[in-house]
Amino acid sequence: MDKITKRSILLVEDNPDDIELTLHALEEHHIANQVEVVRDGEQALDFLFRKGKYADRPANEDPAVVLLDLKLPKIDGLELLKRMRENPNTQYLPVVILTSSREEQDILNGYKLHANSFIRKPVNFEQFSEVVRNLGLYWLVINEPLPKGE
Amino acid sequence: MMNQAFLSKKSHIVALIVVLSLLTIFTSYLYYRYQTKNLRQSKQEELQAIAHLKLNQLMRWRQERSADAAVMSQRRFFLLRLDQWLRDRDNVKLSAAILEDLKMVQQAYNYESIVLSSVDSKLLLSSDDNLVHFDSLTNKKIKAAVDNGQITHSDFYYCNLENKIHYDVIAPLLNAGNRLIAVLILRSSPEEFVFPLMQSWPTPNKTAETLIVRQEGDSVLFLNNLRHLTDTALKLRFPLTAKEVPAVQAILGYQGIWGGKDYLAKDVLADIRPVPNTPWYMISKIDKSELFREFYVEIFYLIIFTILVIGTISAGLSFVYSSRQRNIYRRLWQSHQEFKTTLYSIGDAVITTDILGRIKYLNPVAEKLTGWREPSATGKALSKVFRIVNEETHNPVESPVERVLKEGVVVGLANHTLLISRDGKENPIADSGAPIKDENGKIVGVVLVFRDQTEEREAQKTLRESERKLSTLMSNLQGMVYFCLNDRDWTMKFVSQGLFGLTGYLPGELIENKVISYNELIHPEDQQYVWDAVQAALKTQSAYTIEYRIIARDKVVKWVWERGQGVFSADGELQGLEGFISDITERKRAEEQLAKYREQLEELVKARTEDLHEKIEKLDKSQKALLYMVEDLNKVSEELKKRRLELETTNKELESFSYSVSHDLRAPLRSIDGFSRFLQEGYADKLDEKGLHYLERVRAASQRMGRLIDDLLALSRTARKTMKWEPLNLSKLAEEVIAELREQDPDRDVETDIVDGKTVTGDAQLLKTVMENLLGNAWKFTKQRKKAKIVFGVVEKNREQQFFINDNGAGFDPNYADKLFTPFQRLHSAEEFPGTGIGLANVRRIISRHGGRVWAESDGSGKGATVYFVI
Repeated sequence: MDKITKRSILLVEDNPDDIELTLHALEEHHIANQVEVVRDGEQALDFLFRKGKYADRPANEDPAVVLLDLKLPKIDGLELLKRMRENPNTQYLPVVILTSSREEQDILNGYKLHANSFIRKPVNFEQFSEVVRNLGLYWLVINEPLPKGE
Repeated sequence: MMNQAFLSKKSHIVALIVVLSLLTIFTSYLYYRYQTKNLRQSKQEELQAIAHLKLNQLMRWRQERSADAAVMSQRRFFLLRLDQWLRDRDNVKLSAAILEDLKMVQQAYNYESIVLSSVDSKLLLSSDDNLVHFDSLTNKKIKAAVDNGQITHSDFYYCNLENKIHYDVIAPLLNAGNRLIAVLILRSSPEEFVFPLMQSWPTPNKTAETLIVRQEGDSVLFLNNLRHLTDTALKLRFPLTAKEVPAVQAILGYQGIWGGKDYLAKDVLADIRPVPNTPWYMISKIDKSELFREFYVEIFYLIIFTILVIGTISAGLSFVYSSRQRNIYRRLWQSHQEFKTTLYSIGDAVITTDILGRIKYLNPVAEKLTGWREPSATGKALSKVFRIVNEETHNPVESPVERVLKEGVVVGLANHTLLISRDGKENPIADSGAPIKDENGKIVGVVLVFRDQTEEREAQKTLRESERKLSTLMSNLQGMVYFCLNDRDWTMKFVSQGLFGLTGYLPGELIENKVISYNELIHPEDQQYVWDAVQAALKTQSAYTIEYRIIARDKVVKWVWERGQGVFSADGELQGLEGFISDITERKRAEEQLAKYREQLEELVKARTEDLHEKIEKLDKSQKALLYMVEDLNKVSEELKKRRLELETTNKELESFSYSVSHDLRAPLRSIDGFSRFLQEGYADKLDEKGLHYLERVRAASQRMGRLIDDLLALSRTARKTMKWEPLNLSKLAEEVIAELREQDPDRDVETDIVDGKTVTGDAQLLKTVMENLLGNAWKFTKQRKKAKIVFGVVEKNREQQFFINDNGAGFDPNYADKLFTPFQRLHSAEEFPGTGIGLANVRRIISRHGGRVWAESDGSGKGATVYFVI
């Protein structure tokens, strides 16, 4: 659990209910540390590329994983993913698409843009909570991140 | 023409070249002679002129010496002073004055020295301080001058004291009393003036010079220094026997031009003349080589010119000759080629022989007839190659060559000759021979021309045969052949035997209208028709074919068929008519019969046709009705197109709708469920049991709605999905689905029976959904059975494969079988068998998209169900 405290999660989500549910689920599984929440694609870009109010964000402290909703105000999830992959700094940053949609087209486009996972939010909270737990466990604990400076 | 004839002979050309060359050489020689003579003349004159000039100069020099001496011996004041001093020898002043005087004169007149001598040859005073006494030769001369009291010249002499050549002029000096008191010696050095003078030449040259010689004993002595030999003065001498030397000739008394050899033994031309008042002779000479140098150049050019002229003449004549020869050869070659080409291309066989009858040429036709090739035949005796025998007797026939040689004229040989070729074949030939004569009319050979007559004879034979055949044919013909004139009577010139059969008249009766004319035989009604038809055909020079009636001798009317045409001469003049007439009465009768039948037939056809017309009219009407129907159909399809477009738009709207449904409708459900859960967890103590139960109901409802939404989306996707047709193993698909179901629900004990290897063509994903739904239903509705059984099989009915899935589950009321496939239609309670009621609707939709159909059968509740589908 030591690792979890050090490594953070970026949650990109506009629905306040979903934010709360997600945070609750993380909390339930003691993965609540360092969850940065942004409400739209623009904010997410600011955060990732240290612009606007995130200009002072310290370097070398990128999140371990980005949980990305697709339907977002201003810049939508796929567009955000596209920009991330185009930028060398966020090129390899793990991105998990977490959405209500199960449209094949959305899944296909997500993987085309090198999303690391595509997860559909279940309606049942127990299931949802389990999904969130697995995600946190996998990306924060099991997965070996890219070495620094690579 | 004469010239050309002359030039065509080689020897003539050579002779002409030689004559012209000799002429040229002779002309050049004459010119050379003339030039030599001229040049020698002019050179001699030049030499003489120069010699004359030199001699004058030499003599003037001597005279000047004498004059100087005379002047000196006449100077009275000098003589007085000398006389005074001779008497008073100690008067130094006087002697000094005299000496000064001497020196002055010596310098003024350019003498080597001027010396005063006593009468007895004692040296008194000298301008040259080195001179102290005289040599013996001078003494002798002084004595001679004293003796004769005259001015005396010494010759050139070599002074042993001074080692120099001197020339002295000695003058006796007399005092006032005419007494000889002393002698004055004017001494010159010839090297100062005379020798250079002699050596010099007024014109620029290399070899010319003048020499002065005198006799000394029996030899000639050269007095001056020479141009080409150094230190010769008074040293070089030649014996008088060397007569070729001009100097010797001078001593021997010759004067004038002399050609001889000089002291260097070179050929020279010399002018010899004595010098008056002296024992000297002057010789002016010049090397002949130099003298004639320019002439040698001229000779050189002359020779070159001569050679060029001869060369040009030779080349010109050779060219004329050779071009003439070439022309001759070309013409010869051409005529030879012409001869050969003619010979080899001629259609007749040709053999030429020489006078002895030996073969020279044999053309290809002759090669073919004789069986000999030209190369092997050439040179052979004609009789060997050209073997001829009499056609009937087979006796040898006299060789045509011999006959030509004997008679010397063109001879045609007897016909009926057979030529026996090399391989023994016999050909009838016609031949002729002609002599070949040279320009003098002498026979030098024979040309033999012959022709293979095989074909000709064959043709004659064929002709005879065909004539025979024709006459046989004509006499056997069912009809008559005729040749008649184009007149109103059709005057017959020839008719065949067939006339009798046709008309009952004999040919002799009809020819020349003897008994009856042919026109009279023609049926009066047809006479004009026949005339017109024939005239029309003649106009276009084409054949005519006519049918008409004749009346035979027995008055029987007959139908005849005639075909004929005009016979025209080469210049287009009509000669007559030629043709054939045959009896067609039988045929005519048959035709009439036929015409009757045809009429009947036509009537029949007419009746039938009317009937047919009626039917066609009816058909037309129905066709028109069909056209209207097609028009309507077009309208409908147009409408359909419009509808389809509308449908597509609706579909798109539906698509975006389902997208929102999937995303937007599910989110609040998640919230409802999530927050209900928080309430359950975090606030359980604040709610009573009833409240908790409600929360449970809220959560169940939201989750059920989530499933409903998912199923609805699946249904809409099925409708929109693009079909991907591929072969697909339905049995394998069923196995997979069953395996998944077993995994999800491992506690169930279900027996399955799945038919093997059933394949269909369809969309793999959609058919998987079908199998999932159908087998899933079977699985679901058998859950209350202890021994559940699910069968996937196929039955063959009405020539189609009906797949079915049968279970022994809950079954259904068959009255509602149709409602099973309607969305949201359920026949069981959700508590008994949970479900959304969309699965079978989706199945039907998929099966319809595959162009198949699906239906369900059951014997009633609790008796199991079977769902059939056909793809």
